[in-house]
Amino acid sequence: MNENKIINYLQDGRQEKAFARLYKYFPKVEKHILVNSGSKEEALDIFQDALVLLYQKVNAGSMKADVKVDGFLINSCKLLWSNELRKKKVRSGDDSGLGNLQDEDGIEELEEKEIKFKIVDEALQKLGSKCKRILELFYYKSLSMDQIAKEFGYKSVKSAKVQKYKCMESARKLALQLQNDKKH
Amino acid sequence: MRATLETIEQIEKYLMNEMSSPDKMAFENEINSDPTLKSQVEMQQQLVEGIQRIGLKASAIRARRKFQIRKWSIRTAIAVGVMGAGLAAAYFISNSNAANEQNGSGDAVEEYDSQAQDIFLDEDDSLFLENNEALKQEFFEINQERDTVIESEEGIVVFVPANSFDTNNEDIDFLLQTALNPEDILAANLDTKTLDGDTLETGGMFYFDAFADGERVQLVNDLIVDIPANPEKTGMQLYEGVQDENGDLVWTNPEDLKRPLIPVEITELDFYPPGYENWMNNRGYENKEFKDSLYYSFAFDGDDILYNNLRQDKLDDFQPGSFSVANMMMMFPKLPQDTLGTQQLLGGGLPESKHKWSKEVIALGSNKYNVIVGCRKPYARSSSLGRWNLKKDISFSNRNNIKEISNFKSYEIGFSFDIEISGSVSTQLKIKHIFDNTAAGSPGQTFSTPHLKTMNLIFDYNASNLTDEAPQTGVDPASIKAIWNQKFNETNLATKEFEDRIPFIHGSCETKILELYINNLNMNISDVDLMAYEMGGGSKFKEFAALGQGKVDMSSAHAKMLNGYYKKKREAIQKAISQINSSYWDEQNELDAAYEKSKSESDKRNRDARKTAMQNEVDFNTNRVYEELGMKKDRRRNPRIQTMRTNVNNNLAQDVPDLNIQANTASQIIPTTPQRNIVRGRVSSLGWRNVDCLMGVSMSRQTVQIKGNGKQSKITYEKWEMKISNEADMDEVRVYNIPQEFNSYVKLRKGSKGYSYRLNQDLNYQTVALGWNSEGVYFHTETSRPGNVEVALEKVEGDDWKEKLKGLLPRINGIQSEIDFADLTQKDLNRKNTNKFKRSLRSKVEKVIFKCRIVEGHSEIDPIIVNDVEIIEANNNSVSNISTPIINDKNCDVPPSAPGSFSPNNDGKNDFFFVTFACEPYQFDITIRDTYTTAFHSTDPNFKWGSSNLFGKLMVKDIYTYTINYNDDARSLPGWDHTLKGRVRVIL
Repeated sequence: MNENKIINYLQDGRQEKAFARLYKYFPKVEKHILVNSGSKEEALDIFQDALVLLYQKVNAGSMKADVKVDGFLINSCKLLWSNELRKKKVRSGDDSGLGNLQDEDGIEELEEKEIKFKIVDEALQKLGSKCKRILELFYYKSLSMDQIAKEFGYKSVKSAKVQKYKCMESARKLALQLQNDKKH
Repeated sequence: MRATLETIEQIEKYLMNEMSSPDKMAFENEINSDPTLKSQVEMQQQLVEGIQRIGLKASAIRARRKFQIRKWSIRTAIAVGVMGAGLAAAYFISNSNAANEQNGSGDAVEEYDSQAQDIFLDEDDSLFLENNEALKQEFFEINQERDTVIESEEGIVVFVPANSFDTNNEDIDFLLQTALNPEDILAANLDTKTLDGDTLETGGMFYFDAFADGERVQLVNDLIVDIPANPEKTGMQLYEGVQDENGDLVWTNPEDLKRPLIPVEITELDFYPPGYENWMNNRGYENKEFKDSLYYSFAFDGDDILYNNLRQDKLDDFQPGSFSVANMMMMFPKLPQDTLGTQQLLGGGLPESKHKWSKEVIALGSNKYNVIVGCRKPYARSSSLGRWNLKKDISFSNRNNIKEISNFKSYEIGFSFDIEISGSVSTQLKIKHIFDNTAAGSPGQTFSTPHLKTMNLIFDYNASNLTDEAPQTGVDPASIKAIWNQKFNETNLATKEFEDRIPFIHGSCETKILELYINNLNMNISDVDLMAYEMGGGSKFKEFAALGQGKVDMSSAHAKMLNGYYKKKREAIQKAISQINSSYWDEQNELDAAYEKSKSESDKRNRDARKTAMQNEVDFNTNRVYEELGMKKDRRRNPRIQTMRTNVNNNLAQDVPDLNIQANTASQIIPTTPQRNIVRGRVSSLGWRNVDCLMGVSMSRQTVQIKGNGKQSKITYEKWEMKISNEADMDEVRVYNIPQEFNSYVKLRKGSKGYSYRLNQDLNYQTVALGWNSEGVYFHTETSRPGNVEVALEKVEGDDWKEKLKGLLPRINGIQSEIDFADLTQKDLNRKNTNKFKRSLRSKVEKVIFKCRIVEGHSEIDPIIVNDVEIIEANNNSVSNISTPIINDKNCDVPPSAPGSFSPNNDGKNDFFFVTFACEPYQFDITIRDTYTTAFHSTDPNFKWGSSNLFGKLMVKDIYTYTINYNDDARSLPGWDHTLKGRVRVIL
């Protein structure tokens, strides 16, 4: 698979296509995880997280020019799994078969953000489906407010916007709530 | 908007870099100075990232499915399986095959119990079009050595013929994705725009793919796809999906979709001409075999009609026996017995008769003849005859099938006319004429009252009106029979759709329209409809074509085979029917001829018997009178020679005739009753010439006194009349008077009142009356006594009735033979009545079956094959008895008449109620009612309502109302041409 093509897909919004092609690396990852006391579901999860990371990396522009996509993916997976294992208080397996880890930046950041991610993820999950949809369409699919208004049947763009802000507000409140809960 | 929301808006703008530079800087300052704001911004950012992350994760999860191709294998060869959905959960299998076999430690390799195989495809592969994401995938494993039928969960049925793919590999993985409902279509982002930018209304979309050994393969022939379709929506077309330059899916190349025909069991369809079955059922003919056989009996002749030329090798497998000819019951006459259209005219010369009447017929052309009737001299002299006053002097006893009489011409010795007929004709030509028997030079006696001469005019119509040129219009029943069987199941013909066309095919009256459908079984029926329309089948076929109906699939080889089968079968059917028809009717004609022969023998016998009886009577009378008078007659002489003279004083006869004997020996004939016309000439003087007188007297049967030799003698005749009360129930009645003294008899003719005869009082007569109908033979005998008598015939019982009867009767050969004749005729009656019925039914139904034909109104035709012409001699009754007015032109429009009252007391006067028609109707129905009930009903126009069939012995009311319905000729429409009502009073 042409790496450049994958990167292009990731950059111009056709990430799913890119992801699909990248799944060919999954067997390796899966094997590693399985061997290291993981399950298939966990392997999938890790791999998918890695895909997301790759996307973010590529789009943030912080991808170093000579880093290969496959290497990045697999390394990310390994690191993620190690993390996971640490959390599970299980002795980590043998890293040797996985090759050199070259880029750990993203991982460290991730570990820090992980907690926050969790809260945010949970908050977003708790949102009503409509809110989730509006936010998804705007922030992920990057649809215009016009399109969103049409989709939801709002009479004006303004009302759609208001609804969006309200949803954001709800999400924030939920997140704060969760934060407080965690603290206590 | 609330403040909070405004803040959120601001933060959004900031995060998305939508603020202008000065605004951005200002906002950043604000953030730095306000920790609450700062944390809010951070939070919002995290939320946004979280949203994106979630989206990405979902995308990553979805991406898995795209790559995984899972297949389900189907255990049966013909897969009509409904595959479950739920293939969304993709499962990723390792690359190597080895991994498939051994599962490794975790044994979590297979999530589903199936075999999966890697399929490597290009990244640009259409399978990875976004549209494919949302649709259910169904995989089928096909063995392409066989035909396969696949049915998807959504009801799409795909017919995959064997060897449809360009690979030698037998095992094909066939992928089917369907989006039949709007939700699926939307979810898959499938567009409905054509290449030209039009929007389509879709009836469903589907995606096919096929792989062998992991590699994509291509189709080498068409698949047939049945899509569940809305029957209301016509005009659906099949579009092909292609990618346009934007990579979007657009639809192009529309192809007409045909609505396939649905095959049914052909024997349950109705291929009869429209209305035929109903017409038959309404008349009580519900038996299917009967209906079939009647319909098929109208099969056309075909090109090769001469059965003798039938070549066996033409039939091959289709021998007549192989389709149950025996069950066809072809008992129906096909009037075209031979196609040459010969019409035989019978009539012709008369046997020698005293007056040398003759007639000649000259054929003038088709159905037209010139009839010349004449009377030769010496008995008719032109001067006294004058010209024949044809209008007054000629009439026909019945006008059936006589279309027109014209061009009357009168001659010295006779007359002529042209006659145009439309079928067999059997009529009596009644000629009223005056005879002048003046011989040349002698004063004559002119008889002022006219004679009546009758002659039979018989035209036997042996062939039909159809000439060679007239085509047989209509759809050949042989063609219908050839296809209306199971051999044509699973073809276009065995469908309800084809059945819908049948009435219009019959309506087109052309077999070739039907044959269009038979010869093009492999074509879409809508295409054949168009051909039928262009061939002139009628505008209805254009409407059918617009329905765009398809076909029942069959290979062209099969269609060709069936076509060949149809041709052969039709030919064979035509021949078989033709053969059955002619062999049946040959036999019937033979039997008819046998009857006619027997009848003419009987007629001759009766004539001879009458002559003999007459002769015997003359002899008897002569002997008796001579004895009484004490005279002797010369035995040497034939008593019929009347010219012997006798010596007055000598009783011996002498040979030399002498006409100048003295008057004192002349006898005088003193008729005690008014003199009537007699056949003979003058009676003048006594002597042997008296034998003349006796001859004449015997023939005229008048009481007469004879003087001679100084004595007197008398021959006495007394009137005798017999009426037969149940004569109306008989088909035929014959009455004979047998003088016991002779070995001969006289068959009597029916007069207006009954059977009458003048009995010679010196003889003893026995009267024998024979009658018969379909039930049997009836008989009565008694000694005849002068006066009127009414008797009823009684049915003879027992198998030996003939012997018994013969025993009762004098052993006269003639009479014995007459009894045999009665027996034979009675037995033949059923046959003749059946044939009559059949012919009648057939001619009525022909119009129903072939609406395009104008069938000549054949009334009941009895094929008459007469080898002899019967002459009916002048009746001895007074001419004034002939009361029928001489009607030259029979006007059939004259309404029928019926008496206003009648008295069924069997007194011989007005005993019956009946209807008189100018021309006998084709169909007839009369109902006679009192207020509450039906007293009488009949469909026979010749019915008589009288004492024997009165309702109840006592009449409840004396006034009855009747309703008469009748049709002038055969019609298949409901209802009657004419309806009459009236009243009749019954007087007792």
